Amino acid sequence: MKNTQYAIRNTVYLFLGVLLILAFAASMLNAPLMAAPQADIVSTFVSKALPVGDPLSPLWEQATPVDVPLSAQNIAKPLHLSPSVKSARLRSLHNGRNIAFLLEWDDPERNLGLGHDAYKDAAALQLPLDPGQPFVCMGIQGQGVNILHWRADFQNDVEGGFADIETLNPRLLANVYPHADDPAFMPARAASNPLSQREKLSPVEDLSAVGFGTLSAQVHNDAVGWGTWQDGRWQAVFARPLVTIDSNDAQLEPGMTTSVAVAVWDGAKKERDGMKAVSAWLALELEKAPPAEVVKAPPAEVEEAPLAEAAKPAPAEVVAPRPAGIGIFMIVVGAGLAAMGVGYILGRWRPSPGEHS
Amino acid sequence: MPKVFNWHLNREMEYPYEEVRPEKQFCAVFNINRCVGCQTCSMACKATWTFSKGQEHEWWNNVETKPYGGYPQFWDRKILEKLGPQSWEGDTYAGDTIFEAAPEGEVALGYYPEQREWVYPNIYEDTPAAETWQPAVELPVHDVWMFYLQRTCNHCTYPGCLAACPRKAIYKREEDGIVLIDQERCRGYRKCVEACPYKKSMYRTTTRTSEKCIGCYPLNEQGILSRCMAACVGKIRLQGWLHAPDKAQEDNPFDYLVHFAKVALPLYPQLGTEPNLYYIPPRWAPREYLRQLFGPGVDAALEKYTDPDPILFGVLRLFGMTDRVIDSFQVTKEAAIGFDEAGRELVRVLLDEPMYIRPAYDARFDVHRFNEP
Repeated sequence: MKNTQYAIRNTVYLFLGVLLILAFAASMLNAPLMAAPQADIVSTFVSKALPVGDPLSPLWEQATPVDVPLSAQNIAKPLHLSPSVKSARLRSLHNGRNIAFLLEWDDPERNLGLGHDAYKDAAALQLPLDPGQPFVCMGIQGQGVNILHWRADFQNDVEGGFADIETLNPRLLANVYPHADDPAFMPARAASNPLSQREKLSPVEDLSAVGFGTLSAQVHNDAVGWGTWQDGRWQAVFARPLVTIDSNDAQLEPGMTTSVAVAVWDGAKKERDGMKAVSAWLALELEKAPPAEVVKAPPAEVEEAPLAEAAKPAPAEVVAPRPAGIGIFMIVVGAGLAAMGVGYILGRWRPSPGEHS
Repeated sequence: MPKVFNWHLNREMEYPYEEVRPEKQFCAVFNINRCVGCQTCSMACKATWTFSKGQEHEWWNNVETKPYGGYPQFWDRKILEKLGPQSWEGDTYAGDTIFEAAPEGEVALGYYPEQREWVYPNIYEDTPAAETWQPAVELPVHDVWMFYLQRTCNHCTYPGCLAACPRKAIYKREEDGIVLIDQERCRGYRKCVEACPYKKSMYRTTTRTSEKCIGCYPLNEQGILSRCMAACVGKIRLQGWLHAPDKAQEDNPFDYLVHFAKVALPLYPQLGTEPNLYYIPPRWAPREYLRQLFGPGVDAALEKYTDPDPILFGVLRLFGMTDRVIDSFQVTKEAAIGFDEAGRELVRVLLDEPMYIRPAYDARFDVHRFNEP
């Protein structure tokens, strides 16, 4: 009986010892404990400033493009069951500090959506707040999403100024607009509706949602980007810091796997709101930066960005390189110590004194 | 989709949200028979709310000439054509509402008027329809006819705009039933402009949001009439609070006109939004046309209006007599009296105004009088 108890205890100790050695080895080799799911798209690490304002930059060649099939949003009314854009090409780069996506799609007509009867071209990338795949249609309560929304109308505002009535209806004649500067008579602007603001800094809106009808503009817009339309094709960059101080933003870090979903609107077809072409979730892996490279990531001021001023909060400094393996090592050691405790209790188990004699 | 009761249709109907009625409902009654089409109401509204850039086409209040006029152009004809021929069985609507006839994937049947449809608010002004070339203006129905239709937001019980907004940026106030667009949340999708069958939600290009009549709620909250109501020169308008039929109070002038006397009728009730503006139909227009506009109650309403009893006669005297909201009324042998919510007397109008007859020749000054008042 006693021999059996010792045998159990020895087995436990042996197991724990092997586990410790394996954990140490794993941490030294920087190997993952579990196999990550196959990524649909990889954000490639580059140790350069990201082309956040240039969809045509040769740097994009370094990222592997992925063709993303798009289909109709067919859950929440209003529905638009045959959206005009059927697929989009997505690629991504990051430099350990910022991340940028380039989305390309065919659209024979450029629509700025200015004026009474016009609707804008637009596209959006959706990231889950917590890595994973919450409800793909705008998330749900408790599992929110962060949406980067590039808009042709906002870009036009940034580029050429807010289109006022004189631009929209040049033949319109009015003798006087009383109180023209009084915000009381521009209620949407006075209510801080981002659509109505004259001064736009970025063509990309930083939005939050926790389900249909909940889309809200964030107070801190951390998103920048730029779109170019030529030869019947939009190429739009979406960029933001990996880490922000905003709790409504998805927080990203090299090496992680999260998800991304794509939506595209064709203004010529009056697509807006839920009337859009959407993708399913794609697994997005942020390529791990070589530790030495992370330190070499360029400071924010040399980011090649015509809109650099738009990225309001300076991107958070990259934390001192800390190989993920050490974290794994700590977890395994912790688990090992806990198991040792259990083993010790097991080992202490003895038959009652009566049996012993 | 939930079922709600629409008393205009005398039946339940489909609506995306549950039936919730406000504590009291903003409403108004327009006596079409008295309107002279002066547009003072339109100007009062315009000069208060929509004189800024991007609002050039916005007339939250407008008066259009029927049958041809319409702002936006042909708005009613367009939605009726989309809906197709529908019918009533007695007082019950047997056809489809805009919600029941919604195309697949949409909340309501509707359309988006293009900019050019908004830019002639008074098109076909005073243009009559005629059955004859001869002057023919004998009651009960004139052969050559037109009339003015006064229009603002109906602050519907089941608003099409509210139902269609995918962002739930439109809400109906619990305290007075006024329907508002949250200017902070609106993202300019224009689904409300499409879905409002009365076309009283309007897209503003300079804010990229949609705007609509706010019922002058800051005035109403102080017991003061909305601008278009107070400014009415022809004294054709009465504005206040209406109750649902089961909570109707006979001393409330609106409940009296709508639920008891039944002389005031909703505009296009068949669309299904339960609008809260009511009209006393014009006596001289063809009944068939009026029934299409105001539903099956037209004949009874005109009969009652043509030969009013003393109480109805009294209530009609109160139109346009005060710029305060009349909450209750009383008709005595001599006068109609309007009271505010606290029961204080707001206005007293004699039923028979005294008449003074003076001789045509005034000997004191050796002058002849010519139709002096």
